[in-house]
Amino acid sequence: MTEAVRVDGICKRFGAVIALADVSLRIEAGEFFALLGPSGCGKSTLLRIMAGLEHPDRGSVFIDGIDVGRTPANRRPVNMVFQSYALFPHMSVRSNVAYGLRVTGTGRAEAHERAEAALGLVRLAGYGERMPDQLSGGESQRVALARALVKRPRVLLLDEPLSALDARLRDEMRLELVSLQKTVGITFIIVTHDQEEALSMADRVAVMEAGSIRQVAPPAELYEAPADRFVATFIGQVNLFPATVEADGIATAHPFPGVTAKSRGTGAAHQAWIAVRPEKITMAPGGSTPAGRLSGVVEEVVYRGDLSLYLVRCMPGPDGLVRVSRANAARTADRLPGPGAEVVLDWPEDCAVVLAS
Amino acid sequence: MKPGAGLLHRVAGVVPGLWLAGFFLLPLAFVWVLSFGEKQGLVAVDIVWTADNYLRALDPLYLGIVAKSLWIAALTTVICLAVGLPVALGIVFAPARWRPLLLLLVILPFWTNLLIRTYALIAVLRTRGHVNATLGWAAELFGLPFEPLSLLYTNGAVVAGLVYVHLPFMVLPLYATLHRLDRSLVEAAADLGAGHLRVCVTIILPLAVPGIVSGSLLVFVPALGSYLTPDLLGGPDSQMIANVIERQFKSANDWPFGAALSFLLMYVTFGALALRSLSVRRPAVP
Repeated sequence: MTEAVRVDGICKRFGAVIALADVSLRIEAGEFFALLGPSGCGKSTLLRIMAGLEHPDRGSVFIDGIDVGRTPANRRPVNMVFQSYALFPHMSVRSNVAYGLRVTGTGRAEAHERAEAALGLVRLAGYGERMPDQLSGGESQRVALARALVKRPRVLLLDEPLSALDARLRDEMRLELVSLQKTVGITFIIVTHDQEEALSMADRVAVMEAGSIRQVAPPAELYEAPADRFVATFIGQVNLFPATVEADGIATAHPFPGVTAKSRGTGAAHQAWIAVRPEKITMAPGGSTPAGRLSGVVEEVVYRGDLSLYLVRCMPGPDGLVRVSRANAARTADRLPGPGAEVVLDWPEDCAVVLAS
Repeated sequence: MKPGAGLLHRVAGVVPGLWLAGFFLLPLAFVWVLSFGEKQGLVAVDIVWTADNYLRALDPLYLGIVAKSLWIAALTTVICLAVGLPVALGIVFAPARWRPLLLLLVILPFWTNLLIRTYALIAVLRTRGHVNATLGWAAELFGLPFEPLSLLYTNGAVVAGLVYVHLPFMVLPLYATLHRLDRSLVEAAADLGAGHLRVCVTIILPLAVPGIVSGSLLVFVPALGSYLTPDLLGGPDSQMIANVIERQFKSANDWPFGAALSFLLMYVTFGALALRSLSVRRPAVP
């Protein structure tokens, strides 16, 4: 695989706020890559640095292996879809899409032809004469996409592109973005704070927090083998048990001797965590055999339609509550334990992950 | 709504209405009636509903002065726009903590009396003033011969004075419009390959049109009726229409003709305002 974008040791601060602290990243050509993190983690700043709209205090950006540190935004082979779409309000949809071609010297006829083709690509053929204020949110979004894609950039940067859409449209656009990326074959880098969005669309995801990258991995690996506590809790739900790792690499949770896991690394550690996802845990009526790893009492059942979340009290105190989720496979949930029922919890050994920090 | 609140609303509307009627419409109506009168002796004016005053105003002599006033006001507006646009852009794109100071520098001249500012300009422009002193010093430095320029009492001095006085009226509405401009539009244009100049011409300027129209009007209308600046900085041939009007009311003691000229000036101003409302209502060009 060839690399599309590489950032090397990027540092950026705004006054006293450190937006990016020594960030390095390599994104392959043709990849659908997501920068995921809570707001203020520096993901948008990193994207804007790639676009040339911000300048790093230190570090370099390579696009197609070329250092673009001295290349202004208007000469970089990347294009951006802005969170607010940033459609030019005084130009028609066609002029908006053709703008990037016109300012770089493409003739009017050819620019309009290519603009129409790009509008067709985002299923907006025939919208060329409209003005931006006559478009719905979803249509504006597609125009912004067409406007960026018509330039055939090496890399398309998308800054929270779906955040302004309503939930139903967002689901639809997710699938559409993925198929669009397959069609055009351009590297997509998307910034999002929505973990579901990142997991469902991207080939690889970089999880960021407080200006640093915590983990870069394909979605399944992020979810099943998180690198640290932040990644584990930021993506999906997780039960964390404080644990100690022995020299043989076996971690044991403090108040729950039944909760053990094999550490991936080597060496003992006094402070570690064992992470177990709620859906990996099986639940059996109390007193059944085998005894399982934990036993407790169902405190609350949260019905979510497709699944129910059980809060099982295994010990008094805030750390004693274990979350278990079960798919509501049957139409009636009669067989499942209700609040107050005693249950035994168990899971396969390899479903527990040891986190060092 | 409570009955008391309704009353308050009605009273609140009446007070400015009365003020407007008493101090604006009534005097204006008086001058309007006067413009159809005929001078009878030193102070007496007969209202005979004659159009003679207006016909006299159409004399080439006065039309020439109106045309000259229009020309000077238009030139002032164009120069204010040419200077004010970069200034407004500079303030908008300056670091946020500098902006209040820069705006203050634009507004600061307002805090000084117009007469004093105009006399200060005389000190700058006169034959032995600051401009000539600086030029003379520079000429001496390079060993060139130097003859002081006569800058004061020319049309150029009038335009310079009007530009100086009216520049803030151009900068402030431009700043207000440009400040509201979504910054991501500028970034999007740059991202799509447009250089600085191209972004200015294709994105910033078209979106600044409301500010350009307001600013131009705020400069053009008062510049057209300006009196003090041409009076103090202008020469014998740089009189503007307001100077002529002043003379009718004072030295010529011909109030009906002065009133007619005043109303002609007002009609021109109304024309400018009508053009503006047309330009605002015009649908966006695709």
